[in-house]
Amino acid sequence: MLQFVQFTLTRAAMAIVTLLLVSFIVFSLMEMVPGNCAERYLAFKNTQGSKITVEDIAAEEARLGLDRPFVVRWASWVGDVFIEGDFGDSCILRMSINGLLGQKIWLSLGICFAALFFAYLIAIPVGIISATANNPFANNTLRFVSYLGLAMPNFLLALMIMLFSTVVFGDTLTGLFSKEYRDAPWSVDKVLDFLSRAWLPILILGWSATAFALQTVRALMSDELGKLYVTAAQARGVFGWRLLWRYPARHALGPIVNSLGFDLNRVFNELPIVAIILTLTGAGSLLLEALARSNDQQLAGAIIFMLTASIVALNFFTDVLLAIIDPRVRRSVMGG
Amino acid sequence: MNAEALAERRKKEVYFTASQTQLIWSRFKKNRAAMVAGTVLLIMVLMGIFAPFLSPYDPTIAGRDKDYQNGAPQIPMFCDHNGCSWRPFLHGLERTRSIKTNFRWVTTINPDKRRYVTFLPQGWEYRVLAFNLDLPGSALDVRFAGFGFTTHLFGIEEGGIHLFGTDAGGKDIFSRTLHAIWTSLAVGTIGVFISFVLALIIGGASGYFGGRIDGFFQMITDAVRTVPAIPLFMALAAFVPDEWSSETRFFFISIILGLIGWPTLARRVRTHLLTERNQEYVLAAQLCGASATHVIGRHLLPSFTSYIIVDLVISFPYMVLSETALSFIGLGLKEPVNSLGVLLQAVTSSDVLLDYQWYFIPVIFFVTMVMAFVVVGDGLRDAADPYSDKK
Amino acid sequence: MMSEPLISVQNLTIRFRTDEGLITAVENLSFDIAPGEVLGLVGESGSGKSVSAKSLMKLNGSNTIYGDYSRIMLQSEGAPVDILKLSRPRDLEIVRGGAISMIFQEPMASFAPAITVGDQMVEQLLIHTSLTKKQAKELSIEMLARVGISDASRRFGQYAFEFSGGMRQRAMIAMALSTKPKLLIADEPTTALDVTIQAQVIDLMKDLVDEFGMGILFITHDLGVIAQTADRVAVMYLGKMVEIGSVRDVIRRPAHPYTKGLLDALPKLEALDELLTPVPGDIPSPLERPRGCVFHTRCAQAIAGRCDVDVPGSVSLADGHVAACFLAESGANEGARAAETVA
Repeated sequence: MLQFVQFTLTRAAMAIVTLLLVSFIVFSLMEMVPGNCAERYLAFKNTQGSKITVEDIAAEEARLGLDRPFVVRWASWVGDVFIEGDFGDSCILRMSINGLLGQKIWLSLGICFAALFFAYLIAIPVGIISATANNPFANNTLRFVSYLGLAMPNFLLALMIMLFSTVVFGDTLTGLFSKEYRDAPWSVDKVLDFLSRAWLPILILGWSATAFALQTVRALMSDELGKLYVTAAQARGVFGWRLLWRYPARHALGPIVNSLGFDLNRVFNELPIVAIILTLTGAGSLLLEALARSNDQQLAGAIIFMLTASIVALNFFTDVLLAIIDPRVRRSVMGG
Repeated sequence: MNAEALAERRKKEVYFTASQTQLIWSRFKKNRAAMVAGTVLLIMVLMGIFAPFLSPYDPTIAGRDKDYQNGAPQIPMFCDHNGCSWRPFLHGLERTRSIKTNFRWVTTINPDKRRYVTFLPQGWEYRVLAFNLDLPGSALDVRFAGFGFTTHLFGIEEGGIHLFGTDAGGKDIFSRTLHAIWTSLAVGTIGVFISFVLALIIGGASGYFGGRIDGFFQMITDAVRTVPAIPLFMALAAFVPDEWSSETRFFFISIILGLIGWPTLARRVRTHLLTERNQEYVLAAQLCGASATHVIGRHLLPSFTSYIIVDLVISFPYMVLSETALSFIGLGLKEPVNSLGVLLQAVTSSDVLLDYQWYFIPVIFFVTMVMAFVVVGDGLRDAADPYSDKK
Repeated sequence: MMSEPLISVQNLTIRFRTDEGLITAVENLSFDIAPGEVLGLVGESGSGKSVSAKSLMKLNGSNTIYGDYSRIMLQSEGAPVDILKLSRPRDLEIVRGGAISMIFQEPMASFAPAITVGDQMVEQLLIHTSLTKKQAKELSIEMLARVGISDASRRFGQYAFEFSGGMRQRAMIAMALSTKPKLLIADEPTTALDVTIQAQVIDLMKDLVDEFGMGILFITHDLGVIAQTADRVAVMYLGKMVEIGSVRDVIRRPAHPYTKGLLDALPKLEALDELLTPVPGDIPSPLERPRGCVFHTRCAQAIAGRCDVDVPGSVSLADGHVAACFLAESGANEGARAAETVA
């Protein structure tokens, strides 16, 4: 038990180090953009009619602490994020990023996790069947569909579905809420309304993740199926689904759990573009907004950091989970 | 021994002494789906390379057909109600404007007039091997004018021929699609090349030296791998100032794609090196007194070049996909560069689906190309590792 | 004392459908195993030993084609059952782990790594017996103790990777015998073990045969192990049985050049300085089986125009000693004459 705690703590420490590294990468990227927050904000003001002088910029820089060295600013940013969970203010909008993101980030994360869940809900049974089935037609069809899943980007799929529904049903299927619930406080009806609309983004975000997961499950399953212990179990009279679940599927579970983090990454990749097409008002479109339109690096950095942090967290949990469910990992963790 | 047995023996010898590349190729040939995809891919690559020659019109605004905007695809025919001809032809077009049409220009087809397709006509000028890099600052600028040509595969006697129709500006979608294939392939190639060089250096150092260096690089690699790539692309692409030329933008995007794509490849290189390094043939070479450079160059690298090539092919379509996604949201390439992502931007409104369905033709090419890449990559992977997937 | 055979393999032919075409792995193989008898099956790798053994439980992959006249008759209560005719998994249950158990070459790989040894034993017992879970656990621990695993109740809850090599194979034997099968198939059970552990395992198996009175099909490429364990031995080459007989007959008076070759290839304690004589040449690819006698390409005594054209029939040499070789015919005639003179 002590060793397990030790293992968990080591993994947690590693996760934090990874996050620090990521925060450094993200922060450096934000810094590399020509012009700093003061210049950008004042330039933005400029377009609204106020006259800006060099002194104004210098004063603004001092006020924002932008005259300090790079590493110091990074340290204070990271300190705020890690200790107080405070991402500071958005550069252009002059509002607290935490307030801006608020429930949007949770909504987006929820949809992404749901997409991931949906991907595996389909990929696991279908992958197992396709690894065991001997029907060449079914196998080839599955292969084709999963290739299509890889080759057809989610945003294109979203676009097609949307255009189709607009033309055929006259309904755009966009947004996460109907008009009447958009600004209403959470209630049972609002949740139902949300669910009735969220299936489409979940489906679309899960689309290529499903294709990837399907390939992973299939490859792992046929790998395990070829192993001697499966033949040995068959020779003892185990058969059918019991054989599949208890033997190859159970043993393929480890690598599948391990790959969850990267699949979540894949879903996040699609989030901003799909969000734009389906006009979802989550973190995805906010991110795109921040990057494409207003050059708001503070907001963008915060969102990228949040997304990455959730992947790191997921990786941490799957590591610990693996140590619990897989005796081989457990033994290497516990040292015997 | 008779001749037949001798031939048989030679066949076996060829098999047993075949190099890794030959073995991979011979296994790949047996995979019918991959061979079909490979052929499709080859055709697409050729179409991309010879895009200027195959395109009857300049794909930029310079080549617009102002008399045929948002025009439907024109398919050359051999027969009409006036009989058949050996030379394919199109019917004549007439533009009229009158009170009947609310004084808008309306194009009508005149089925009694024939316009014949011509082969190898002279048309717009294109430059081969031209190279123009214009980065901020003048030190890195490279200019090479190349050679000009004006011959094209086909054209038409008078008016225009638009196999895939035209867009709202009157640009020929066929020419644009061919050029877009070229751009996507070029972006992918540069991106893959950059990430390959980075992967070789980082993964190579990591795998060959092992120990702490390995641990350090692994940490960096994992951190970069954890950050979702597209949001990161977007953050990087947002740096691009609007005043950059399209060529510069193109190189910048390719470089970004390469800079972010390396971790997966680096891991593969590292794993290959780590496993091969401990093989006995390496020990044998070292015991014979071979230097480290000799061991790496003559023994280690050749042992997995074919696998690395396979990895490169596999990572290629994701480069193309990323470029398309970026251009699609307007952070990547922009007009007048023709990339598939730029062309996909045109299909976002619903009136396209209702009225101008031919805008979707580039989408078909895009999906086909990426799919062909994925299938070929998969086929190569199976061929390189026959035990990876038994059924 | 010919008792009713436990299992009777008749004209077993096994082919595999592959990308390269049909591959014949086993051709016209016939043998019987009586209760309490140990039959050794010897041959190089690729000779079709394991494939034949697996066919007794129909464990070969879905691309397997069995010959039309092939039969594997298993003695069971009432009428004998043709195993090859069984197709539903539920019907196959009686042979898989019930009437027949199998031990594999790699004890490590034949246990599922993430399931405890005990769970796998209990699972098998629950499938084949009417024991409760608790009884099954008690029986499993008892069996583990019986095969000489100390601290069996603790070992019951452990994973295969926590066992040593010899212990794993003993646990495998305990598991295989727990359902009291009539026939035990041992597929090179000692190959992956150290020599000292090999002897232990072989002794254990001999004890258990006496105790449980079952038949054993013992597959190996090691004639030395056969001499120690088997009553009768069958020699296979490229999917064909070339010789079968009692261990004493086959080892003292091998009739087939291949058996002779295998015996010559063994190191001899009395002549350690002598060079070993390996069987010349390589085993041909199963894709291009030689015409005529499958062994003629490597046989020093092959008769040109005969061995590479005609398939030699089975020649009966003595009581139960049969060889498939033209050379044996003359020997058989002599034997027959000798028998006449005695009479």
